[in-house]
Amino acid sequence: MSDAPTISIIDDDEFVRDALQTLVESVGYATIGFSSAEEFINSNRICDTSCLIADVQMSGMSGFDLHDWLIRNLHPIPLILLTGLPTERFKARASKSIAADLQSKPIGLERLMVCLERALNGLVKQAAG
Amino acid sequence: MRDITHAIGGAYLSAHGSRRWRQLGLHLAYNWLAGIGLAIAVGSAYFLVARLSLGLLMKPDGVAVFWPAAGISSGVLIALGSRARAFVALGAVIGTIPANLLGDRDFWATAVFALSNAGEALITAALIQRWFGAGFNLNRLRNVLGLFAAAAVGPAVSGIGGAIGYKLFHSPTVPMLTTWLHWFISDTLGIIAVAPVLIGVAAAVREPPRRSELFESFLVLALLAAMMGFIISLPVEPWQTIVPGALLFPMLLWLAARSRPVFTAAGAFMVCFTIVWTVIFGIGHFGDPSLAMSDRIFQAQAIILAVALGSLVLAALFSERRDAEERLVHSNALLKRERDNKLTNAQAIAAAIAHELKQPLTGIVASSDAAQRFLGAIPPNLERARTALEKVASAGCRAGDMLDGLRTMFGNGTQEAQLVSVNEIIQEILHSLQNEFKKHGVAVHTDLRTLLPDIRGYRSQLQEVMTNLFINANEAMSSIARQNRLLCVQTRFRDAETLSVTVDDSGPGIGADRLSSIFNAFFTTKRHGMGLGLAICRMIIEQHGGELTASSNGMGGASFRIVLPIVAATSESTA
Repeated sequence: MSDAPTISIIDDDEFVRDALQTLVESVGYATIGFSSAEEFINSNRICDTSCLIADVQMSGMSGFDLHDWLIRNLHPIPLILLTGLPTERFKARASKSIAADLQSKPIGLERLMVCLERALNGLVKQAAG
Repeated sequence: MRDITHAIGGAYLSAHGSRRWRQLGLHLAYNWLAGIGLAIAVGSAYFLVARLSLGLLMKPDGVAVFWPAAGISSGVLIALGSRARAFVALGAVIGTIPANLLGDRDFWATAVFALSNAGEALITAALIQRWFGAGFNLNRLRNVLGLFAAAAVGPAVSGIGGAIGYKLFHSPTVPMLTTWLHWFISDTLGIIAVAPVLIGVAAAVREPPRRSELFESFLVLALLAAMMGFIISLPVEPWQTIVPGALLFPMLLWLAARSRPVFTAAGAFMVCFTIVWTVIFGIGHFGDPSLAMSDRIFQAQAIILAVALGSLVLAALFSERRDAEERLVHSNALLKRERDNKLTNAQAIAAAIAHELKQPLTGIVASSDAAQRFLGAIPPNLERARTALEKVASAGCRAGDMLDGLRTMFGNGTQEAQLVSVNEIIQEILHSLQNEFKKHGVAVHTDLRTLLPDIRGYRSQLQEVMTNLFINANEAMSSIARQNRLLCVQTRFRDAETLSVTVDDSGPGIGADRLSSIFNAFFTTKRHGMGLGLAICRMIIEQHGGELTASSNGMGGASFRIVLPIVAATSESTA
């Protein structure tokens, strides 16, 4: 299990974060939870993280702010953004990005697995190329 | 030592005091200088116009047929207000004396006339001040009628003095009543022809007209002047009685309809003044030598009255209509904005509710899918499946709590506003959140005004607002160092009718670009139970007849300020 990719989950709602961690762990990935994007950035777990799942609306840095930070700081970590309010504005912003995948809440196992696999495979390709 | 300090202090004070006295002295001297200047200006104008008027005297009593000088003194006094009283009266006196002495009047008659003329302006202006207060304007019908009434009363009183003066020093053959009547007509017409221009100029200085209005009005006035030149140059024919009206009325109507009253007054003044001097110098239609002088004078007086009254009334009516139209446009815009706000509020509320419900739903879906996964594993991980299912249950309860919160907030029409203490609510909520603050290392500083009166409102709603603001502040500070996290809550009397609550945090603050939109746009915080968007907080405060605003504070953080009425609160939320 130690070689399983680590998924970092960022949501400022403790309950949602916990539930998402449990779900991702139930399919065999390791997870680390963070209550804010700032907490993640200031942690030393960035390099361990194979994929990020983050909420869009958070006090402080938003999911999109985190996305921009990752690009600026050259961290090629794929990002799955979750939002309870999939507005056109958010969709347009996400569609312009190469690294972010915007998904609406609530998200079930099936859809999350598709996203995760796509993200992790993308990373494999990126690393290989 | 103390004495020395005292002495120095005293010296300083007296030096300071003398400087103040000097300033006051300068101020007074300046005022006197300006006043004397005003008296000289009014006096000169009065003198010149009076000399013109004395060119045509009523036979046989010798009263001037027209007295526009009365309009100068009354108009300046109404325009400048009661401060100018003494100097304008002085101006009327120093204008009257040389004008009369240069004529056939003796000294004593001149003195009586000077006092009568000064008194006339004082009475007319005092009546306007009493009826309409300061800042008199001719943009309302009742103001125009008021001016005409004052212009009748002032000369009626001063006419008594004038008639006595003539009786005593000129011993005319006509009865005193005739002299009084001539004086009255000549001064009243003078006031209504001249004073409106001066009053209008003062109003235009207070509120300058637009460039386009100035341009158009001066153009029409120039046209009017040209038209009058044309009329004067026409040969004297019977058909000519109709021509001036046909040519001049459209111009005056144009001014009345499109410009403010000062320009109409200027147009009417030009017409009246032209009539006066053509009668005096025997030029054109009004100087027609084939008519008896008394007929010409009577005709001119009737036309001056009709032109002044008609055009000023028209101008006032048009002005009232323009004002009403402007108010209508303004209130329509307000109404539209109000409606848009309501829509935005409704959208924000729908979005906030959707967001709040999706949080527990996300938990339910994720946890139940995880539970299925743990149960389907070989061997099944029963322990983790059980924990995941417990989370499903608690997320379901959370969604239920949220809906309960909604019901409390929007009410079912039975809850009533009650007297609540804002300080008490703040203390309760701070108490209930103290563990939260401790966990995040937030220092709470309260500065609650004692003896703050109760307000009328809905306790649970106000609790929600306070909770929301405190949680917002708490979460906003999560990105800064623990030792710098400070929450300040302050309550104050704002004035006799309102109190204010200010919630400041030392967080990163709200960007200027977001300040205006945080209440409209979807902007929320997440926490257990019911979380309210700021849009809903603002709606609650507005339903209480207050307002909720956000700004950046001196600590670099966000500052939220609630203003609530102390006595009355609306009952809209129960309607």
